[in-house]
Amino acid sequence: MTTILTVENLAVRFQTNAGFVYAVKDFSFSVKEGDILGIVGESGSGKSIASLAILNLLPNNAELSANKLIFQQANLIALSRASFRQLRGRQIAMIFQNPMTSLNPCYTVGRQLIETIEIHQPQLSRAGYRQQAIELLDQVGIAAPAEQMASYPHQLSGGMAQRVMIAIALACQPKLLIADEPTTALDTTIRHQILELLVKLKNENKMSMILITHDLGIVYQYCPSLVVVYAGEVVERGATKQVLSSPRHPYTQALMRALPEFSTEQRGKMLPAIEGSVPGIYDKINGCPFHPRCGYATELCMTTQPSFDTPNDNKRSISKCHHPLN
Amino acid sequence: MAESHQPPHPFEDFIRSFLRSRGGVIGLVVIVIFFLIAIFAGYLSPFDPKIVFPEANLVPPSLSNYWLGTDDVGRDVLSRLLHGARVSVTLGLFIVFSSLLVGVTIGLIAGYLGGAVDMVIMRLTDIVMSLPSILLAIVVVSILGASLGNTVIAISIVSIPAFVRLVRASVLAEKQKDYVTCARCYGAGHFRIAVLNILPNCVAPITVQATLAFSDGILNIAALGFLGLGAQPPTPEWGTMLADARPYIVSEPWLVIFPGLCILIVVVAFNLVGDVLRDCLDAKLKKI
Repeated sequence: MTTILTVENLAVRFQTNAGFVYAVKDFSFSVKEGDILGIVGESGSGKSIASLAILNLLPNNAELSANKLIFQQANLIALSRASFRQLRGRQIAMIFQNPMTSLNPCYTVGRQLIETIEIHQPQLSRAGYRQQAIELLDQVGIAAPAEQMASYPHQLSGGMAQRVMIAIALACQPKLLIADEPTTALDTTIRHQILELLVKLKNENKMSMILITHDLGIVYQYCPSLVVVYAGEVVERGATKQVLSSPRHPYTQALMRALPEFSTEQRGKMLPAIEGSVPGIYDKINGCPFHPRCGYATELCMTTQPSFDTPNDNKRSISKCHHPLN
Repeated sequence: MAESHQPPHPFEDFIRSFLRSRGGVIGLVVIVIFFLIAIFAGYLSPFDPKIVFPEANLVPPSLSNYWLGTDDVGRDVLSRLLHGARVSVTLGLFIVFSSLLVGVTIGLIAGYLGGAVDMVIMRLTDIVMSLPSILLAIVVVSILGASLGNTVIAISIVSIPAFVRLVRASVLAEKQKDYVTCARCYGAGHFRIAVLNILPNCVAPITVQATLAFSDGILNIAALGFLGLGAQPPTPEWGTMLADARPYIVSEPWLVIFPGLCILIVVVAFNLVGDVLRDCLDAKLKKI
């Protein structure tokens, strides 16, 4: 399997009144062709910023730096604005968290879908655009697609709106699809339908996918490989089964422990949680960012930043910890 | 999905809530009548508004010949009022469209680009807004010379800042929304995002402001006419008619009352409609 996207030492910093703050730093991962990479982390850990950075969609006060940001041989750091526009949508598409606000309330579903097709395939005829739009809606499992073309976003349910978003994402047949918490705003019952749909479409269209989520269950079920993010940094990455069954970073382990269990002896007990809270973006922590909440922290952790280890067994996940577990 | 379960089309919803308000409907009826009068003034008025009947000056209103009386030189007041509506509508439309076009463009640029461009544009509009509008209009007309065309230019300049501020504020709010990021993410260019994606979402406040700008425009035309800087005699214009009638305010009050009433009714009608439009178009103010 070839690698489609390589991100090495990605850092995003924001210019604020209090100087520069880093939302993402030392962020490295790669996506293999046809793979689904899960990125998990708490709210505010920089997952979304990292994905926006890949598409160069950061706000104006953000600065991006990276050792490597390579998508299919193209160096994204050196890419001009015009070529970036070519890349967005056509090569990399993105699905956002809240489908209800991601659609323009002024236009019908059909018009928005056609608009996207128009930008990327200007050679088609009007009837061709419409035909393709209907086919896409049909592909994402919308019943009566021809009729739904005339619907406005507010007339759709969350699940339907997300299906439309997926259809828009597919409109340009991207090589890589970034799904930023695609199911967070949806009902639990719809979640799996949407994820199943995404996986099915990924396979049919030979895409690769990045799935950003904070639901470990989803990652376990759908993502062969996994990146765990804490406070803007990747702390552990590897094959999902490996990472979740024998986590090497204490944070991953703590996350696994915090999963609620549905058993009789758990009834009436407090839900497990990780002590403390995620450091804020303005907090400066020396050493390992997780050490204030880590049960294994030593003197070394408080002073020195850990770097990725290279386990001799290459099936193991790699983690950024002075005292890796297992 | 069954048709009956769908929420109403936003336009239907808007029409329904507009028709529910009494003030809005009354205002709208008055405006429609006002426009019809302006269009058909030539057919409706009994006399030519500029024709002088030397033997019949200052005739009081009566049902016999001159329904609303005649003025000091013997022109039929009713005919002049009806043709005055035509002047007000034409100039009002010119003012609204020119200030809307310029104001929306500038506001969109300021809001969308932000930064230094925004700074400069907004400080300039602040300066224009800090001057009393009628005073500014007087200055502009004094520089350009008193004529109807220059009146339109002057009043348009005065009405631009309100549009700029309004559009900029709406654009600032809209450009933060997810669908804009989404459009960028699918490779849309700046023009497409700003004009085709953001602007349609700012239409509601622009519509309201356009209605209010129309009534302000009519009021300002009349004010400039009254001061002798707008329409020049013998053009039948409400403000000018008022000014001409000033010496007769006690002895022949109908010369003042009728043009005054016309201005009042039209301006109130536009303001009523503007208010109701704002209530109907703004989801936060909408009564459910």
